[in-house]
Amino acid sequence: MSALITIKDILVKKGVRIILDVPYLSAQRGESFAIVGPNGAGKTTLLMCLSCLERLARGSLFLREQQVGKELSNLDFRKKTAVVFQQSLLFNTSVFDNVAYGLRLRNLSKQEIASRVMDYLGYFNIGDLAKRSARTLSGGEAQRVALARALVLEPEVLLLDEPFASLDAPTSEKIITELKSTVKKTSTTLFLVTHNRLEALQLANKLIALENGRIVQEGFLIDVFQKPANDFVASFAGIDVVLRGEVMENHDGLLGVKIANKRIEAVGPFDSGRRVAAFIRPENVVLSIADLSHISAKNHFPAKIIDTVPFGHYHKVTLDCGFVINSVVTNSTVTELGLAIGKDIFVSFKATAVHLVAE
Amino acid sequence: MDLLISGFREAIRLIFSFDSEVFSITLLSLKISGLATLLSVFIGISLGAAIGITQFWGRRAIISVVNTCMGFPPVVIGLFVTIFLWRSGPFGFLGLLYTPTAIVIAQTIIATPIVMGITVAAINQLPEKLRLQALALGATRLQTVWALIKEARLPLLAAIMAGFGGVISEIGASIMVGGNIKGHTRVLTTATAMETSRGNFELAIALGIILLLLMLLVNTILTSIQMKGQTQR
Repeated sequence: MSALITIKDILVKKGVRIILDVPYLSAQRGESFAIVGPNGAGKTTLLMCLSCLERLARGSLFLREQQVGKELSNLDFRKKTAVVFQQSLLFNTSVFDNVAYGLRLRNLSKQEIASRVMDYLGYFNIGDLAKRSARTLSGGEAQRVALARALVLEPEVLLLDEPFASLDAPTSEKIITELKSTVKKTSTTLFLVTHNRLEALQLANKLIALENGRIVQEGFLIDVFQKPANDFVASFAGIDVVLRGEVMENHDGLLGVKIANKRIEAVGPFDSGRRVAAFIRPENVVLSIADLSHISAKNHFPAKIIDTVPFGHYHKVTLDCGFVINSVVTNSTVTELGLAIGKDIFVSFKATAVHLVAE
Repeated sequence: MDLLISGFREAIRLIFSFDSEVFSITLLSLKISGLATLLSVFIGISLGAAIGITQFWGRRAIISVVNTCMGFPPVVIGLFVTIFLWRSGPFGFLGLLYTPTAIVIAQTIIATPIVMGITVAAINQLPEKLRLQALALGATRLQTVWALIKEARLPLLAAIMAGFGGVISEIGASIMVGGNIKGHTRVLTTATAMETSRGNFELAIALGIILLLLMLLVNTILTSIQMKGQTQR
């Protein structure tokens, strides 16, 4: 199946500074990508490239193998995509006129415009706001209008630049649910710039991690979360603690790694002497009152609880076992095991739960 | 004090009796300054929007020049327009000196930087990504510029007010390039100055009041449009 949208060998510069350098990226129809990275990584620039709004120093953009700017004009390409920014950027006119703006540029009939606008306002539960001035809307309402204005165009590619960042949690959750169902129904290809793990998990099935203008990791969200390529991706994936150490030995891929004078077992391709960063997902760290050294997990350490933080239905427990490690447990486990700061406990995790990255 | 009171009385009589001379001077002022404002709005908003939207080398310098020109002395503009339109000047062959057209030209030159400067500022205060948003929705460059001008329409009304206020009350350039010829190029400001110098204070006060009423009327209309726009926010 040919890709819907592809970028090849794209370079964006500001003066002599490289802002974005992406050799290749493609997306199929209906795929959804979360674009993540630290501030200044080039996330928004990548989104601007994908929407043909960025001046390129080099490279090309394709829609269904048609090169934008050559076989397909920039304007025709933009008419097949839609962008929603962090600010709602509504025009100083009515909600209806805002949502109708792009349709009018496409010379649709008045009847079709009216019907599509009302349909999409309905999808986002803002039909009753049609006649209101856009300047009188709350943040949540304005962002719904911005999303309706983009989706009413029925774009093939939807590009979202942190559209929920300025909204409170309940409002953004509601909008995300509405957006998810609309995008799924229309098989729209989605690119979402976000700093929020939950947004990425809810809306995307793939992840692109950027750092210093380059893609450092790309793949299915579930794989990236299990095997993050660097500290930032690990942190985005919910791995707060990065352990650093040195490979001591390698026996057929089973490694002994020295971390803070402790030895942990892990799997990986690294030779002894290699400096590595170890990422362990907190849900893979098992806590027990008794020493479980007889089970299959290769790593067992006595530990002391140094912090517990409740997160709704679960707790994040931070432990010191010579190095600091996190675990997540259900609230009932906290009660059953009597987990509290200062308590001595045992920590276990499998060698396969340790993801190593060369430093 | 008596002079002032009798002056006001005479002014009110002249206004309400629709004195033909006062009426023709008022009409000519309105025509000349209205046309000059219209031209300056067209040129100033087009160029101001272009400067406001586009990024290019030397943009800051151009904005500084425009802002400086906003306070350019009308008498200096009058001097240069006179030189250009002088019989032996570069455009002397057009025979425009001491005609209403010459005053329109001078007033357009005075008002254009005012409209342009306020337009640049109005466009600059719009969210930076609004231009990208319009383009992303499928607008052409021209449609994008129009969308941004529409967004900045409230401050742009202030530009029109400032432009009109600047030229209707201007005297230096009008007298230099128009010559204050009775029935031909005599406008409210030049007539007021002349009648004052002659000691005809009643007529001068009447012309002054009409000038103020005219400015008040135009600004009231534009302000009400502006306020209507603001209450819709």
